[in-house]
Amino acid sequence: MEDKQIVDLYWARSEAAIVETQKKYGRYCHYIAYQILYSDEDAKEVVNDVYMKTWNTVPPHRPDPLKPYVGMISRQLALDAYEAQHTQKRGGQVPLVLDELSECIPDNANGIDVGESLALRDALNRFVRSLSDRTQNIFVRRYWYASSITEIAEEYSMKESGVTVLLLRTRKKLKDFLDKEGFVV
Amino acid sequence: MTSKDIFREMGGLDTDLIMKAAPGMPQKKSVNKAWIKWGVIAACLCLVAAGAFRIAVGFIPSQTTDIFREGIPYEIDSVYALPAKYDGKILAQNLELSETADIEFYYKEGGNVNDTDDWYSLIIADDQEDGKLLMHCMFGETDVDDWKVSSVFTKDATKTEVINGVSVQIARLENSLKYEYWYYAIFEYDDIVYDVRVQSNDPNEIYDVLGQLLEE
Repeated sequence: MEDKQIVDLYWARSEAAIVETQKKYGRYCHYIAYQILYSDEDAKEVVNDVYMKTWNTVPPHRPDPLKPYVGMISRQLALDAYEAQHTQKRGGQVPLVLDELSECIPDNANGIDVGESLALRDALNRFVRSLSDRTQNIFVRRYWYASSITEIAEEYSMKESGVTVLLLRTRKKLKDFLDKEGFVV
Repeated sequence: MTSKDIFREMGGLDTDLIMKAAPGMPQKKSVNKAWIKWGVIAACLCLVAAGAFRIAVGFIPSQTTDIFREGIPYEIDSVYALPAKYDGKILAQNLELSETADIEFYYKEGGNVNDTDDWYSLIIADDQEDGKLLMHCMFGETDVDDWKVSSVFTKDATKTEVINGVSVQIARLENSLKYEYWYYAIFEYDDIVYDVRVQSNDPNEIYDVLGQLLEE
């Protein structure tokens, strides 16, 4: 079923909307949540919450396409769950990803306010768009999807060391970019 | 601000960036005008190749020599920007690359970028309209047989073609997400070992690239 038809079902308040979303994007949402939570059970819970949140937000929203919309909800909810459970040490990619990103900005205990959050979001978009197409995809796979280096290397037919070096160089570019944008004091 | 803030705000990337990087996202396909030029050659070759590709399915590449750990990266905008050495015989110059192709040139640590003896490798990655193209050129001192044995080819997956007088080994690898195959070609020309890969379901495409590279 096309995304537009699924969204129409949400607007018509038909529960078939959830069934169709599950069929089309359930696996995708689970992948995103699992990469962050590293637990099948927790990821399944998040995916159920994704359906609920989509049900509650469509309408008023009319997402087109639907895939990144549910994907973003899944990532957001998984991150919330990750932070809530973070007292216990766990595996997965997120600790590695956070460690890598810490090279781009000196850790500062002060949180960021809404204005800084929006500015950072805008800067990240501009930075990613400045990269070549392939580097964009690999960077987003690592730092949006939290995919493992092994998986990225396999999908892009690269050596793991090639992916590692490419990401290292891109993080260096991000650090310089954020520096120029005034994010690093 | 912490790395967590960056990771969280990455969540606000534009939807098109998220979509095209999604796991298993297939490449867009289109007709390349070069297909017409090489179509006849490819059609003939693929009849022969089809049998070999059947036995190639399922083999797994092992890790190869790590070309990234050695050498100093030297970013260039175009293969034409390379110093005019090797008598202009760097076959990559025959490729039709898109403007967004990543071209990385590596030379030996402590060496001179203008000295061909210090050249290590050239790596091209291009998302062309008709699929992904990756090419590694290894300069000098690289044994093509070692490369073949240690990289994508196993003995029963090897298929040799002679294209414009050059012996080329070709194989197919099914990628893990089952959307498309990778076709590999490895050959040696003028002391340079070429490792060319095309992501595609169409075996003609590797022949098209080989046709461009080895045109007379």
